[in-house]
Amino acid sequence: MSLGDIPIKVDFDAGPQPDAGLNTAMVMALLQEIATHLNDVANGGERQVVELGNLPLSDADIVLLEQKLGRGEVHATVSAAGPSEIYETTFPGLWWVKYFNDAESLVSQQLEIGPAPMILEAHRVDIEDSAQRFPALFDSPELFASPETESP
Amino acid sequence: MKEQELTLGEELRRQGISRRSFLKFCAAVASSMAIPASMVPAMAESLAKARRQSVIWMSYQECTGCIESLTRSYTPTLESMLFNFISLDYQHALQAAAGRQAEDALHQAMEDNWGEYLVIADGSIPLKDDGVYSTVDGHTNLESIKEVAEGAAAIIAIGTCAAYGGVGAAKPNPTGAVGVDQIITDKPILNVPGCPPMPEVMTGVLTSYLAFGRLPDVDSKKRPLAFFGDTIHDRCYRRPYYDLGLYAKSFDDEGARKGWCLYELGCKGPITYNACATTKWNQGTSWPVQSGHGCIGCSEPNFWDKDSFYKPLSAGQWGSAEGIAIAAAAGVAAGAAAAVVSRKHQDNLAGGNKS
Ligand code: SF4
Ligand code: SF4
Repeated sequence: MSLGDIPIKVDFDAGPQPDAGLNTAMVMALLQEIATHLNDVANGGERQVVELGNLPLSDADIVLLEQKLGRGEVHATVSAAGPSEIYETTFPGLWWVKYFNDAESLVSQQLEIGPAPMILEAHRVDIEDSAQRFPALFDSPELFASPETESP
Repeated sequence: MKEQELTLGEELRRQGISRRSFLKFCAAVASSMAIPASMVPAMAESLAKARRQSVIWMSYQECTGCIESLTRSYTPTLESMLFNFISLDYQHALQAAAGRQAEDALHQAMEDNWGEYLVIADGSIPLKDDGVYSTVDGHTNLESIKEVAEGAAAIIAIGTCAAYGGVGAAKPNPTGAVGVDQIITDKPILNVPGCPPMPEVMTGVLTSYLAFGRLPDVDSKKRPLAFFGDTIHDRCYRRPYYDLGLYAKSFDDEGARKGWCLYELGCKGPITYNACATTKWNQGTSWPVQSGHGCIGCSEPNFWDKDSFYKPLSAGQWGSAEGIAIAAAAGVAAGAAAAVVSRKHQDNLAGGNKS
């Protein structure tokens, strides 16, 4: 037996999907918060991050927000502890950051306001590690291959 | 160098795990704990400097549902990161050792980490007849909790049973079951109630203990405020319907199909403190109200003895009339605002369609 064998009746006229919910007052409050942050950062202030998961946003709210912010010039994916997706909105400096788990379901999503989202930056400790590992490349046998030894 | 002497950052670095993973892990935890996202980099930084935490897990009168729930914490990737941060030195359902070996391992872990280990307890503890109703290795649960608590830095009571007695303490409570804080009074105790508790709470509590060096702030029932600071109702996505007075009257009526508020079908959301409405269950898939059933109040003391899950709050023994009046008043005010804004949205959307 498969899922398709279970007789369910889908009532397409049932109106709005129960789990999308209605738009709430939260979106307007959020837009105003973002406006304040953009102003601060534009005036040289520190990076700001707004966690969307903590706000009582309905699915309908998220859709509306995505529509209003749009997608801008940058789109990036990061593979660290599962995939993450980052894009800049049509407002430069306003980033949408989505952290996924392995199963590609969302664990956290944030709006980040700043020149670049923190997950894109390499950490100093990791750069130190690179600096340490990098010289090993000098020992690569390929680098010592002379034209004579290379010919068959 | 011994593994335990390395910092978590060094240990994970050796496994090729970059700091971005720490950052992401902390972002997920911060999100679930309502820790300001701006604190994430600092949190990742101090987590990387911490060392592995010894954890001793004691199971008493329980159904193993709690550990079932918690081992499904987050996702394979993020969960395995948590297990890099702790050393689970005793958990009798998960460990390979059994019998004498297991008990020896417990005592070894206690000795090695005296004063520093965390105790996680699930299940209630029977007091009646000297606690004979539940024993492990010939010792009653009562003797056991007193023994492990002595050298513990703190105790985390997981699940409604360890926190408040739970189902074991349901009327007529034949074994005289109680929660941990009825017995241990001289140690920091944190309650993570829920039947079962939410895995994200466990991950959050352990991570913040490692990163900030202390247990998170709690409410009057010793629950971490980060997860239990709001009621289900405060954060319920069906709240606009409650505010508009649109209630489902039966589980298959038009209101139920449209996703209206479940208050009249017995939802205990207005007086239940838990994080289900935003954290959701099964890796964020859904949660009880989203699947069409009211909250049964599983994270509140005595929820099992408080009348029918299907009677509206106003008709049952839940909460005081006062509490309900406050919820109702707040509902009216917020409802009016929500209605204005949602009308505005409709206008905006309609305008957008025309252009
Ligand atoms: S009563 Fe229950 S379903 Fe209704 S808004 Fe409150 S929590 Fe949601
Ligand atoms: S919705 Fe209510 S009953 Fe259900 S798990 Fe959450 S707190 Fe417990």
